[in-house]
Amino acid sequence: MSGTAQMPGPVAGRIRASAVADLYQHSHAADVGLSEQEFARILGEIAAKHLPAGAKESDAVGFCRGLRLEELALARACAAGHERAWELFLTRYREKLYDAARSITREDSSARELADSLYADLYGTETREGRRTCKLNYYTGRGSLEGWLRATLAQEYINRYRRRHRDVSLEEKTEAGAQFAAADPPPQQAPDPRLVEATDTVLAALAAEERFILASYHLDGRPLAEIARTLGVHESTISRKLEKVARVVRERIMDELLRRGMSRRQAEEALATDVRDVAVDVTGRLVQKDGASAFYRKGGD
Amino acid sequence: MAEVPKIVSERLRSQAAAGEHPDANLLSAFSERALSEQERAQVLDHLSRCAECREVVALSALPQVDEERLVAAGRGSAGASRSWWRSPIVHWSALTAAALVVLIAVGERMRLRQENTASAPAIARYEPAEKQIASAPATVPAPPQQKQSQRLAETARPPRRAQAFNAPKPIGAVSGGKLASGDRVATGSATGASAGIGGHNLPPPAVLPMKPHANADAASTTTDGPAFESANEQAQAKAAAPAPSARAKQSVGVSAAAAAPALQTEGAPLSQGRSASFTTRAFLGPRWSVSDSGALQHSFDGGRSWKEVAVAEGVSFRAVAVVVVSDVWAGGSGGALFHSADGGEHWARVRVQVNDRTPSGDIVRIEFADAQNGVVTTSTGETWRTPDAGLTWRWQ
Repeated sequence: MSGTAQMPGPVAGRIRASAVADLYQHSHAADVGLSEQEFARILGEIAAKHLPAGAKESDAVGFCRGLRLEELALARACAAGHERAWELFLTRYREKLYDAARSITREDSSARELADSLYADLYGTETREGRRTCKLNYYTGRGSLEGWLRATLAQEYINRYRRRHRDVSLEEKTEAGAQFAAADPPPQQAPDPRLVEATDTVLAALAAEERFILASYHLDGRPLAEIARTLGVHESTISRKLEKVARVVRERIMDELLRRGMSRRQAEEALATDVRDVAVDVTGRLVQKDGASAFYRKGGD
Repeated sequence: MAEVPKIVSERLRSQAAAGEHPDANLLSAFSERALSEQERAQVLDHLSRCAECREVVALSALPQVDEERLVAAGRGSAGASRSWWRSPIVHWSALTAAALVVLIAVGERMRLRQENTASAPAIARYEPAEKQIASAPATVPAPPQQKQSQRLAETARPPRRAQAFNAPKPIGAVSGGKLASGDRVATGSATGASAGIGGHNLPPPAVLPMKPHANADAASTTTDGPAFESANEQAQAKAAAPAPSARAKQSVGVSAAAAAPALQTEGAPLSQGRSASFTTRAFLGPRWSVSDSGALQHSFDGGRSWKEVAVAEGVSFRAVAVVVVSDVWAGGSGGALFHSADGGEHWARVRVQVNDRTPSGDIVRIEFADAQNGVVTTSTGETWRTPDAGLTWRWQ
């Protein structure tokens, strides 16, 4: 290759040709049939997307070096239809893709269906404006190609799940026992608006990581180890942080409620109330009106 | 775990995600910690409000390799297949039986010793631990130069702990020793995988000298092989004698404890003529983590308590990986990477380098498929691979 290609675009256009050539050589793009000009164009697009217009050359070069260049070249060469690239891609990622699909669906046939559907998108069976649309063109090399494939699979799985729930037929609903679905619960009594305001204020003031931990644990029900893996810290760290955030949130909400004119006792009662139970008369439901025995007794009495 | 008021869960659920969803590139880069701080903060903020994207991140995560599998991998390739003898019941039963055998052997040995030496002076009844260890046969005979350096190193070292860790000895040999109360002696946690490292006869790699850590009193009679130089070993060799041979590597003991599940023995200090009571319990190796402040720490009680491990000054650790129980890698600020082949007793700094190029950021992830093949990821998204346990690297 000539080594004189320059990146197009407002940011990357200023990168010296020698730096582009260095990146090109490092990516082994030539091995999968990608020309230096084509590779420079791809880098230019990605840099323009992620870097501000006034970025320095050194920043742009550093950014490009941080990309998964070899995997980027492979993905884009596949998208461009180079046969050698597809051979490599299938050799390296075919099994990984199926494994990832299996770990997502936890069932073989669904996994194969999910992975095959992604393969079709990766290959590009649809055309737009006369051009084959290939999903691999969206890979930018920020993370690993394998990680991107897994994330794309997960997105596809969630979309399918949502579509399926939206399009489920009446027969399927009946088969699933929908005709026996429970009646809608009575409308819940709204919690005190001061409590809602105070909680929203406190949650908004939390750091993103603290909110993430709270939501992952208390909303999504994820185990500590999984949250720890996502954030790249140890399980014990998450445990400590969760304890601390829970305590801090409670204290701050109390403070906010006091600031909003509640007495301490009122604030404590408001916090102790389970909003889901507000409308439920627990005592009334537990006490039996006719005084009948709660359990069946032998002998028919 | 502390509960939050229910209103908090309700309000968290009702939070709307801000802006557009990050694409698969950003989500996967987030999971792999390949984003800049600013980008990471933005993605994290979105994730904290968007259950759907949290679901994508969770679903796309790699399955966790648990500790049990790591330990099993260290015991040999046979551990790869699940079979009846790997069930927890069989596993723990075997360990319990082994512990019982050890206890019986220890008791019997002490009884015999007392009988045989009843007329001898009391001082002869209990050999110091050092003597016993020194007399214990090494499974790998050390070359003359190594033996010399071992002797030189021994003159400068006071500790029993490292000797007990490294020197192969019959289980229970420590029973006559003078361990301080609470002293822990791991009678072996090295595995065949780490022994393999020491078995190579390769030229020394790029190694940075390193200050001895706080536990520098622990002598280095075993190392990870010729691949890395331990700073502790250097310091001891210098203290003992300036001869270059004192820096020679020793592989004694690396294979001594191979394949056996480590047994941790705790003993009360013994005085002459007193009977000793020992508790021996199964020990599958420490757990490792990095604290919030960037210190490397390990736990010997399944994570209930953690103790910081001093490796090198000025390095803030961000990642730690255990290949097998004895084979530990830790990395952090400035691309610093350290390796211990003896379960964290000694550390050697490993230079990650190709020509003049070194990692551009902090090491944030370390993954080793086996003792040889590893991948190190930096905060700037660089990936460095080694096919030979850190001897050579390839930048990606």
